[in-house]
Amino acid sequence: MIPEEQIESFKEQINRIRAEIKKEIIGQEPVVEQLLTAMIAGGNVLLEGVPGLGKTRLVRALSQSLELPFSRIQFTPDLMPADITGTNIIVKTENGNEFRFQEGPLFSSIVLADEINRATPKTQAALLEAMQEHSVTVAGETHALNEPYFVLATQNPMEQEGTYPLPEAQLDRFMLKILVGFPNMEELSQIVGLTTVPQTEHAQAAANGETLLRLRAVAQEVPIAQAVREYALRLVLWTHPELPESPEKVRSALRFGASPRAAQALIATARVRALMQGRYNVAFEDIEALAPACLRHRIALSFEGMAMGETAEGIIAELLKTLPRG
Amino acid sequence: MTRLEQALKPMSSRMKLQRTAEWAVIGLLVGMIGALLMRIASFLWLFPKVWLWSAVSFCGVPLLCALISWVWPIAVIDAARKVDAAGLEARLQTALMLKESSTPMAELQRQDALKHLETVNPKQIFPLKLSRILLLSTLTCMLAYGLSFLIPNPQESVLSARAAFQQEMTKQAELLDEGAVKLDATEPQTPELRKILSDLSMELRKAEEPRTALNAVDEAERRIERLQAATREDALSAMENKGMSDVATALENGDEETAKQLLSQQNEQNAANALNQAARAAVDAAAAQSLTQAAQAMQSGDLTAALNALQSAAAGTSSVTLQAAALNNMVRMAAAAVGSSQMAMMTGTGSQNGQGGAGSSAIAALTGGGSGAGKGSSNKDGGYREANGLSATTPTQEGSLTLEDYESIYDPTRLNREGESVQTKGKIGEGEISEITAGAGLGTVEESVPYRQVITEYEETAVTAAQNADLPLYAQKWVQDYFSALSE
Repeated sequence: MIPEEQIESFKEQINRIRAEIKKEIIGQEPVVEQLLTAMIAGGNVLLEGVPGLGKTRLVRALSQSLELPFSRIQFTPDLMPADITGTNIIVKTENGNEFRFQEGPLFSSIVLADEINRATPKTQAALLEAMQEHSVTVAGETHALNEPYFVLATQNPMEQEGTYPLPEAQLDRFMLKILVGFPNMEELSQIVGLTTVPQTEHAQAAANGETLLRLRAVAQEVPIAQAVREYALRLVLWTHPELPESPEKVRSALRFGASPRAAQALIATARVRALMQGRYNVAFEDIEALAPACLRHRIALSFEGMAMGETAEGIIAELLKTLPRG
Repeated sequence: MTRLEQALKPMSSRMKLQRTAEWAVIGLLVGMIGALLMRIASFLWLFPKVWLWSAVSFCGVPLLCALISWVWPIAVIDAARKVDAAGLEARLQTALMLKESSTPMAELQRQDALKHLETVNPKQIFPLKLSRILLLSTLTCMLAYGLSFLIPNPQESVLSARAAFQQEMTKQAELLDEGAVKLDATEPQTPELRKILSDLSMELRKAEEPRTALNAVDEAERRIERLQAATREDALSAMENKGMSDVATALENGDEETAKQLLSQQNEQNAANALNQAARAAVDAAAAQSLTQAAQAMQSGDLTAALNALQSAAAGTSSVTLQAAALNNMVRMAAAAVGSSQMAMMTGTGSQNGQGGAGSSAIAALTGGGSGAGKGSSNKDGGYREANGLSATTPTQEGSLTLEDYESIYDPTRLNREGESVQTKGKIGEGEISEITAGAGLGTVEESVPYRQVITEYEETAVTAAQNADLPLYAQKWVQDYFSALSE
């Protein structure tokens, strides 16, 4: 049973972390909030945005504010799985030569997989076990990863040549897919002002891994009413075109719908968001706010949908408009 | 009850009030639509008491809806959902779900929900504001209903005629009941006659249309006829078996003079003995009573009284009074009333209330008026003349019919033959006259056919047509008597 003080201090903790991140990142508040939400919920995040928006800086600031080890992997087409997981190397010891496992960059708490879609599917697959099981198996030996453990992947929506689109199985392992937008005039001005002069203030540790795990435990206690739970589940079900109760648009524009992981992601992140909003229960608004991030990478447009000019965002918006509450 | 449920009570009450107002207006709309549909139906079909059903629909339906809404409890969870939807973000629903839980999270959530509930005004969440479409629809229906009264309803005249008919039938039924009570309780036929009158009275009260009433009258007449026939046959048969067959034959033929002569020729004591024996042999009580009375009269030497008693027996009654005749008259009064009501319904002139007086005189006859035994009343057509604008006091002799009688009874078109036909309403020279010229009849203008050559054929056709037209017995007898008179 989580003590009351811990529950009441949740929002305060989050605000402290936010405040530290704000020292490094200008604007992007929805992105920061969703990122924090996913991390506290224990999920991995896929960040999509054009280069230069501060995605790497954001993740670095996050690791600083959470005092968690951070590693960055720049994915390229020639990157091999062993390059990221680690490999056995021969080490000369007193007793002679022996194999020792050399940990790869995956062995960190926060892993930034930059431009993940540039690596080969084989290398991308190497991430799968780490993302899901929080462990790495090399030469038959499984090595556990640190807790908490997050994989924050990025991809560029513009560069499509020479890339390897992530398979659905891997996409499904990302709790949220967050779109990083271009800053507005004011934000851009602040960014330029912050980064073109020596930075006087840097993000400090506002929490640590243990705090994060405690925050996760608190979030898992947040109750969700039956009507709200059913709303979330119906939302996921309605993304399936083969179901008769799905809207007409879904049945014509989608090829397949979201998996049960989408429902897990929705509810887990909604719990965190409720606490961030100062509530002690999940509301319909939480589900609606997180639905796009949870579902956009888990549904696929059919040829007809593409021909009609539909987008995943459009379909999700339509679903939220038509799905009745309660 | 938990603190939360207690705090939700004002919300539930307000929600119930809102729902009741809404349902009342919906009920009003439904009621108005129902009333309007009934009003429309009343233009197309007969719809008795449509005003009553409309009132029930208009007033009863909204009241019923409001009552149901008020009585039907509001579930706490429904009230919670409604309040949550107004901005409490599922706090109340969650709190209700956790009402049994005592974890710190549940407690915090509950406190948070209660705190936010206090900021909510029930009147704002559940305003007593009704849908404009609903109100407009209701007003439109009310307006349409009101305007419908400006349109004349073709069924109303039918309904009022029917109501007048039923009123007349009730009056006739009361006269019959009165008459039944006044029947001589000592007479053997009285219980059966009372039953016939009572049944007829009941049928008349139930009758919704003239044909039903006429059928009931017909049935009553047939039952009286059968009763009288049984008495008559039994009395005559008993007399024949006891050596008075010649007297019985004369009575059967209606030869009063011969019967009187035969009786006077007989020894009084012997005749009395024979009549007593015949009375003892008679099965029918009424026949036995008449024969006994005749025997007593013969013994005392009162030939006239004896003859009257025997004539009663031959007529199928048990009394020298005009009970049977008055009885038949009462039945005919009822039939005449039916006939005049039917005519009134057909012409739309409303029921002509001309039968009460005739009926009352028939009842008066039961208590001691009249003369002659079993021959019928002095008013041969049972009020028909009066109902058709003819003088009820114009005396008629048997066998001679005036032109007015012809006008009121005979309608050549009933014979289903081509020929000239003239239909008049009322006396010639008065009222409307409509003339219909049909095809040529028998013969040509240059030729003439003596009526005696065709009268038999006419008579057969007329009698058959009268029977096929399902007329009451007395009306059929009129047709028969008419042609018999023409043949003589």
